[in-house]
Amino acid sequence: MTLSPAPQSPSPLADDRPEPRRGLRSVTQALRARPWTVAVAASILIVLFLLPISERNGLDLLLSNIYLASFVAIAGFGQMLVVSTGRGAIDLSIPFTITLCVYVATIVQDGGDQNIPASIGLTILVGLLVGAVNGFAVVVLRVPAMVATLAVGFIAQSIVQIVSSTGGHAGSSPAVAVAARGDVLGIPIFVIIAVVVGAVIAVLVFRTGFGLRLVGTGQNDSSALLAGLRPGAVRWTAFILSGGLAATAAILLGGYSGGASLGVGESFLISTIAAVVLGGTLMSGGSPSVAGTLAGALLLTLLVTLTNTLQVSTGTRSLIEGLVILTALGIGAQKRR
Amino acid sequence: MKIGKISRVLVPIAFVSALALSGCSASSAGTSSADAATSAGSIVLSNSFIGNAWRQTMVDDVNKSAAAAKAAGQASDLKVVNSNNDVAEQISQIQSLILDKPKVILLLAASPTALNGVIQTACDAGIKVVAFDASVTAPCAYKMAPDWVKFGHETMKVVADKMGGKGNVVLVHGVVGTDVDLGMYQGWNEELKSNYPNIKIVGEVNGNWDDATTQSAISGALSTAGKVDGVMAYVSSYGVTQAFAAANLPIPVVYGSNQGTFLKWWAEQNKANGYSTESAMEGPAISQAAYWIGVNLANGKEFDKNLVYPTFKITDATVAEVSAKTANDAFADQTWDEASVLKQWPAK
Repeated sequence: MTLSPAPQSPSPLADDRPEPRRGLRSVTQALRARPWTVAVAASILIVLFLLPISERNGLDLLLSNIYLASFVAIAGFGQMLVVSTGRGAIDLSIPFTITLCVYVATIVQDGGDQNIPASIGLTILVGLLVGAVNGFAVVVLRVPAMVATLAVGFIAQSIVQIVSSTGGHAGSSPAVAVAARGDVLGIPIFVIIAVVVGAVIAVLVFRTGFGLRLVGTGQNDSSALLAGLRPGAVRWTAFILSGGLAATAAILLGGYSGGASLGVGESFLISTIAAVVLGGTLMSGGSPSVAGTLAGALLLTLLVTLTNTLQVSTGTRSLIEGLVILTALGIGAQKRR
Repeated sequence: MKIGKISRVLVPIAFVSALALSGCSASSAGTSSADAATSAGSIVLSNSFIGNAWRQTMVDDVNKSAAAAKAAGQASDLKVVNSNNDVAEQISQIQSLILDKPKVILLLAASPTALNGVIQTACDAGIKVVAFDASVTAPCAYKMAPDWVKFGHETMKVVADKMGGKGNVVLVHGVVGTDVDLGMYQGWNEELKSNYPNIKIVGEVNGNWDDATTQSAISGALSTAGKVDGVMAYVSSYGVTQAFAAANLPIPVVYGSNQGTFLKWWAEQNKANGYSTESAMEGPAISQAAYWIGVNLANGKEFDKNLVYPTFKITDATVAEVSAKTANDAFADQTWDEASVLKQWPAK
């Protein structure tokens, strides 16, 4: 949770807020200051609940769930950046971008280690390109983000279908697959990568001019324009970064599953949005939370583990996830008052 | 304004002439299929979805059979229409197919019940409907699919016996709510309940018949589960093995998938340490069997309405040979020609 360097004032443009008071008011004030607390608290509750019924030790349980959450977290950072630019911005192309990028990465790797740098470069380039097209449609063509990114996602999916039907893919490189299983001092390599990516995004959002402009754009587009913050360019950049982060998650996913499959990105539509919402990032924009997105991704993974462990019926599982997300949205809406 | 007026006149003209042209081509197609009808009728395929490897192979497979039938003068070209997993779209596609008066409609349905009305319309128009893979409830349709409950029983028995009749098992769901998943799940549970009281279900996860989804679901389950001795999966078995490998756990008895990735892994493990399992799947070549049934229906032969489809089974004895012939992302499968179809399902 050290990733949120300025938890006391997540929004640099709103330092003139009233001092916290007692009671419910102080709770909402605390939530506003540290939006990730809900997700962290809920995660801790689930882990405490799981400990006695789990047949593995607590550290194992936590680490393997954090590991699974790292993919969602990395792609979730991109969703967070896009959502934070406000005006209903959202990236619905992420699942399709991920599937496309897993194919690109594993096809270039071709089951060997010699093409790893090329595969990483090309995959991220494809991700950035998809993001750039999203940004172009939203910023220049002024298509609502929900429609534009869905359309771009549909195009990406169609490319995947053409690529996948060519056949004969050898799978991911052994070195990436080994990295997927490797750890440093017991901490999985992919978790370290997710945390490093999170740290970079945190610095970008909270310590750079781009971060200021991102928050400003999200809080009030018109004011940001008048203040010369170039909201269009900011929004476009957020989409490009989102594509790049989806590609990063895709490279790791390719190593994790040893190859590409058509459904590999599917779950990332709802999970990236949910991780962002559960983490306390405002869907209305202007208030990103990097630590929250990490915690939100972990909470989502733990929820699935919990329902799996309790052997809740499959329909009820989706119902529980939906209710949790709705509750988080409700809390988020309270915070805005 | 002037341009607007002109276009207002021109567009309908273009539209009408396009209609007339398509009418001409349709009628010319009509005569050619009438010619062909003396030897065999025209056959069309309405496919609900084309977005995964299985469906793509399914269409490739049926086209191979159609090419063979055409070369032998048994049928005219096969027309394939795909809808985007959209019931309404498939219904309207079938309605327009009915207007072409084919002899047989092969159908991979998007819904077991929603297409019943349009299927009945086709039957009333004298068109035979062969629904394969995804079952439909319309009584006039011929139905070709495996018996999934029986499949569940048989596969559970294989895994349970390899587990020595005791231990912990994890069940992997496919696409929840499909009759395939429901039937298989029922078979697994019934088999355990009646014959294997010492096997305990310690987890149920959703794998969506996708390797990556299954792997992540199993990894999550393994974060709390104790010892797992067996896993029941369908299609996404490779994802199961990868989850155990990623957790550095020994790999239990996993019911196999006919996908190249799993077969290759199984063949290597079998050679290295005697890893033993079995694998079976309803392969995409079911479209070939349905096609040859369709050709024979068009030629006036009659069949049972319920055509139980045999899955393609692979064992420890055959895995080395089969995996060598199967590409990573392809399915090992059987092929059907007219003779083998008529042997499996004799005409009445």
